[in-house]
Amino acid sequence: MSGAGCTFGGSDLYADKSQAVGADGGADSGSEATAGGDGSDNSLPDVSGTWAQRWVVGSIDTMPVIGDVQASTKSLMRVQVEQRGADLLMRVETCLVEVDSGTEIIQEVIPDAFVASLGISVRAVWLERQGSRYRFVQPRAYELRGVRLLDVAGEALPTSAQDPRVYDQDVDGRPGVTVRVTGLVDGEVWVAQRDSHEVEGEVVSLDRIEGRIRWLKEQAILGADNPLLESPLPSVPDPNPDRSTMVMVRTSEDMQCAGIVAQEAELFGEQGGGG
Amino acid sequence: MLHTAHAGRLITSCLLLVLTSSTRVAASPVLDTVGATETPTPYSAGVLATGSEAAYFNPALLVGAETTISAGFTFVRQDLSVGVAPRPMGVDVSEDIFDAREQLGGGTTRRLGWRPLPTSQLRAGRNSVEHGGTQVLMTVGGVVQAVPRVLALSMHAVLPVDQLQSQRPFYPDEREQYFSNSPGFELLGDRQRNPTIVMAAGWKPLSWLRVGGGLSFATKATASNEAYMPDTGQHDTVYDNAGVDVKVKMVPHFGVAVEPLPRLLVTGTLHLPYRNETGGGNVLQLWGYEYSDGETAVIQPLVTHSGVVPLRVGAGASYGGRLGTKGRWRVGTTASFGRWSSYRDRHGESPLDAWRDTLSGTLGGVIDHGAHRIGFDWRVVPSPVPDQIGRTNYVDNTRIGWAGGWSMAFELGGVRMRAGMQAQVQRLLPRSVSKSDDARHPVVDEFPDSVNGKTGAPIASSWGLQTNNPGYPGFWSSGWITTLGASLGVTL
Repeated sequence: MSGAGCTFGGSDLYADKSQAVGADGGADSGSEATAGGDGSDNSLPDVSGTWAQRWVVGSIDTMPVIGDVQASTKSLMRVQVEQRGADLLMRVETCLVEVDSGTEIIQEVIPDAFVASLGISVRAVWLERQGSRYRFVQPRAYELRGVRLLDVAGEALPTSAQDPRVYDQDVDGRPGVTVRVTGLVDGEVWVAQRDSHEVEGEVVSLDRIEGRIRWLKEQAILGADNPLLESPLPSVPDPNPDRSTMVMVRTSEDMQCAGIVAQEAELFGEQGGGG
Repeated sequence: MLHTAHAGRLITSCLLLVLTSSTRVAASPVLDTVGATETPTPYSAGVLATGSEAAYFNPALLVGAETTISAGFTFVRQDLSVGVAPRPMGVDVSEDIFDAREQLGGGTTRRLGWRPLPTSQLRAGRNSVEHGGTQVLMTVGGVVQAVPRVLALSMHAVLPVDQLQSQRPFYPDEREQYFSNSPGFELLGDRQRNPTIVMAAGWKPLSWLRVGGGLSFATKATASNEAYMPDTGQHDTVYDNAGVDVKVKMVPHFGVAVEPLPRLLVTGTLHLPYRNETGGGNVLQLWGYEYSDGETAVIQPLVTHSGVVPLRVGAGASYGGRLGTKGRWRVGTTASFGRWSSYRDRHGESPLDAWRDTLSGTLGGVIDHGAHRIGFDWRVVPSPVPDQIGRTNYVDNTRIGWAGGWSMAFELGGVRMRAGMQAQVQRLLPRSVSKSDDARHPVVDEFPDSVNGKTGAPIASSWGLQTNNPGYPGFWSSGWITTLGASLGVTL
């Protein structure tokens, strides 16, 4: 791509990738990402490169004994973005998943094996001009965990560990994927999950993209080593859209998952995960 | 050469002893520990009792006792020591346990089967402990010869003055880490802080035969704590109704005394098992909780036993004669079989390593000379508790006791009285135990080899044996029980 005549806030969009956030971090907003005055496509911001991404999805979980609690799940990811015009291809490696159960009494822990089993997923995204700004649009996508379905979106999740569609994704000897519960009740729950999510955001600057997430999560319990955990816990997305957010910040090419986890505060500029 | 009648009595005596020794017995923990505190022969009362104490020790001897009322006070001091051996390095339970999953073969894990707290978070430190203290027992008794030389009735009570009843359950194994975190004497301590009330009757159907029966009062309590917790996040908000119902139950005991020969007395006793029980439990309602089918609350049962004494059979014999023109003497010995193998502890559990039945013995004597009476007594009480080399930490010692007493009869205002004093010393023979891997029920590894449930990384602090068992790696115990008492009886 040529950067001739294409500027965000007066700077060369394509030449200025040196503003990537390095290890010494700081979510420097850099140049403001606005469309050029002529409205041509070649005014698109160049967002290709390596990013750190943080998702926080808020939910209302109904816990036994406790009742409704505001919970949230934070995910940190390393994203490599390829850009062809307005189309983006994102290769997403999940680095960390943390659940804030909203209560000290029961906490959900996502084992590292679960995270490692997620591998690298590919997401198609595009940029869409809206006035002087660019929207970041990630259409609804589905992710399956611990189960293989022919109809990813419409097929009901299996509820038995013996169902042939169930597999041991995190290779821990248990069906599906394993989620750990600690606190007043503790144990492991083996589940099949289907997540669907769509993101609508904005390219805030060359180095930062922010958005909101609309998501749904289905979970079928395949087994547990504590009978109290065999009953599903109702969980619905928090109707407050501000509790389900996405932030991407550009990083250096060589920043790996461990660095993103270690420098989360510096990268994203504020504490996340609390919903 | 024996007369025919004497031979018949002797045979009857033997039969009675055989019969009683095939049956069972019971008792009061206070009286079994300190004996008859108002006589000079507290341990041999089963064969030498002369007052209301016979109501408990051998009601057959009530026929022959004078019609009296008596009262006394006894100071009982228990100096009991339990020392614990220092814990070796590496056996503490680390805080990693909260994130742990027990490692199984094939890379799988499971929930921890044991739920110890990190050693650093135990509420009570594990220390050597001095138990005991001084208590005062008040003894009240009376004997009535309803039909002189034929039928006697009696009541005998021993009441702790400072604390009417005490019940302090504890666990004999690693579960005690959550509470006192120390081993405790299983058969002493609070067991002496329980009232004993006995009613009995003695009957003399034949000139050479006396029989008797009595009832000891025990309690059976039901404690119910109904609680509702509206918000488990607000632990200090609990609505509860706690209730206790206490019922009285009667535990029978029997005695027999036969005079097969002049001056010779043969006795037998039978006491059925005795214990105070507390049952019931917590009935817990939680907001939003899904109870088990058919349940409307979480039921947490409670069972505790206190003052447990097993079935016992006793036999004894005494022989006496004259001492000059003003005196008499009598010596007696008793043996008592205790069926401690059936013992259930303070939580109603049978010891993992069964206790032993015991045979304890006494030897005593009394001399009456004029208005004075002096006596001595000796006893040995073997411990029923085997060496605690495994998981459990029942603390108990063989006891040897010595007692002596003096009393004097006198008249005051035309009323015949007898005042007396008694003292005794019991030694708990020192005992020490070390835990052994070869025990039948060894100390459990409460934190087995585990991995971090989140990362899957091995937890080094779980390798090897980790335990909070208060008795690990060993403990020792010893002690003294001393008493000093005074009593006054009025002959009616």
